Amino acid sequence: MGCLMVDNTPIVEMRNIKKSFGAVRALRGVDLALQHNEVLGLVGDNAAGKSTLMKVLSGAYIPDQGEIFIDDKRVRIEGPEDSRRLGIEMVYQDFALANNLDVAGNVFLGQEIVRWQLGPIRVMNKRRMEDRSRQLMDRLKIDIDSVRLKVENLSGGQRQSVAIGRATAFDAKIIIMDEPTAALSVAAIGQVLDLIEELKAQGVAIIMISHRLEDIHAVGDRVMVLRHGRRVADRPITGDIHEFREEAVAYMVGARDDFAEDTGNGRR
Amino acid sequence: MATTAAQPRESTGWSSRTLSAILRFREASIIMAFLALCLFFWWRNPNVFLKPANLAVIMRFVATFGLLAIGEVLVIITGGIDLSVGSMTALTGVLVATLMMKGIGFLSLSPLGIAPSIVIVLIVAGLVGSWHGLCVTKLGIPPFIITLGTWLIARGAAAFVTRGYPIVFPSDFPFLTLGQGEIFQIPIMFVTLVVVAVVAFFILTSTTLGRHIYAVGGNIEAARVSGVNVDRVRIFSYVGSGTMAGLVGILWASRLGQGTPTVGSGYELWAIAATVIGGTSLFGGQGTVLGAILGAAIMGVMINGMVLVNLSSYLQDVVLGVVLVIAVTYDTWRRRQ
Ligand SMILES: Nc1ncnc2c1ncn2[C@@H]1O[C@H](COP(=O)(O)OP(=O)(O)O)[C@@H](O)[C@H]1O
Ligand SMILES: [Mg+2]
Repeated sequence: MGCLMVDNTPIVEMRNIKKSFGAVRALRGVDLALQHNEVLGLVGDNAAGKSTLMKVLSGAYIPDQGEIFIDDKRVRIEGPEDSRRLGIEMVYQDFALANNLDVAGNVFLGQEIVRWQLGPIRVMNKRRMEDRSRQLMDRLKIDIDSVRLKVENLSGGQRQSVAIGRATAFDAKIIIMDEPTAALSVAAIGQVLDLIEELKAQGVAIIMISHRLEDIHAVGDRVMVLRHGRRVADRPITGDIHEFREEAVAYMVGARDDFAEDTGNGRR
Repeated sequence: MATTAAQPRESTGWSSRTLSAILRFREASIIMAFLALCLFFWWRNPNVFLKPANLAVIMRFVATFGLLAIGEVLVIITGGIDLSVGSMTALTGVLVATLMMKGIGFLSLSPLGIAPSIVIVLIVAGLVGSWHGLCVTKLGIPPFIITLGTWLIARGAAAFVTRGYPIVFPSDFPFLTLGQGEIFQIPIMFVTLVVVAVVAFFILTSTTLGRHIYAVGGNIEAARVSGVNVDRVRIFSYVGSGTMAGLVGILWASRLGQGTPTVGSGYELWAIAATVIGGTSLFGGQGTVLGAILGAAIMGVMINGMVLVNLSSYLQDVVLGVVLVIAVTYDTWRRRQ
């Protein structure tokens, strides 16, 4: 069925990614495809390899084996700079922001707008950074009184929104979030899920790790389940939350496996 | 809706709001403490306290602790500490005297040797600072330990080089103007502090380096993943602190007319106390140049006042200790709020 606008090339494709830490085989040949403008939920039990897979994509880890394609082009990601240059931003679970800086300071941390430079002395253009941060908060409908507020004075939901928002400040096309709702109150979770939908509406592709299946169900288009470093499911999100939860849990605990033939000394 | 608009957003009680408002306006309370101290010592010793000569003495102390505190602020904001600055004052003082008196070849005891000697000593002090920074960042040695090592080494080396005797300048040597001279009754040492403070203030508030210093202290991992060169920022802060110690060493050699291995003993604690009183948090991430100087002003008046009221030097140490403990306790308490 050809809808005219559909672009079938995935924006990200990871093929046969393997990564071990000593004797621990964290990833045993994982494939992942993320479509343009898609929200992909990544779930799995503790130590399944979710964070490791995303750190490979964000350049924090270099895989032992495997290939990564962005828009069908083979790329090398050997550090956070590489992935950032490719339009990938990662929102880390717990160390996203510097609490002693204000919102604008955090949005532009490490990428400050410079007014003039004399050797190593780079003088910031604070006004521009504040204005741009304000625009960013407005565009993403993040409710913050002033971008000059220190982050330590924000609520948990506002903080996580700023952390996610700053990832989009520099034209990221792909945003990875590791447990964005884990430490939040119910109201704050709502804020963050709204923000994710807003980002999707603005054309961003998102991978979201979460153990909160209801959040994946609420905003996700597709879900991928990892178990012991392998992909065991990859399917569109359909049905109501109860069906979804039951299915996902079945995959997570090993009762179901859509890729069982890939194991052992099999095809790959 | 004017009535609701006038309501405070937070619904905390009146007293805690007032309290936090006062605490937030920290500089005001420091200035008040400073004025109270001045009034006290003026009352105890009205004949001397406000004399220009005594004010100059106070200003030199403020300059000393202020310069050291500025260096210390840079390090403490990043979450580190520099315990070496008192001893470094002695070592650099001895070094600058050695260089000028016997030092650079034919230039010994010549006014032409002054500027090169100063530059060399500042560079050496900066290098010692970079040594601290490299040990902290690349080897993961706790800043407390590595700078405590230098605290011992620098003091010992200063005594060894001089065999324990001061290296005395001729009393008409032009270098002495730096520590003893005045411009419109303001000691040159104090003018130096003002100039350095303006530069440090500018770096901390307006440059990316300053922003990164705060970011490293606030959340080092966030800074790292945001692309901040965390190690370079931390090394810079130790270089800054080392250089300030070198500057103070030079100024005091000039002030005393000699390079002496006993100068600056305990100054690291005075400087750290000054920064903490001025609102710098020993937990990192917070601190200002203005606060450090206000803290140094309190320290300067205190040290001068204690001499004016003839407090025994043993008790002076007790007072310093008590002030330090109160300041740090307050910092800890405020952080838990
Ligand atoms: N830096 C590391 N060093 C050693 N082992 C690691 C490292 N990172 C992850 N692992 C191991 O890899 C496995 C997968 O971890 P992770 O990707 O964090 O799982 P998840 O995010 O799904 O909970 C775990 O057994 C974990 O202990
Ligand atoms: Mg994880």
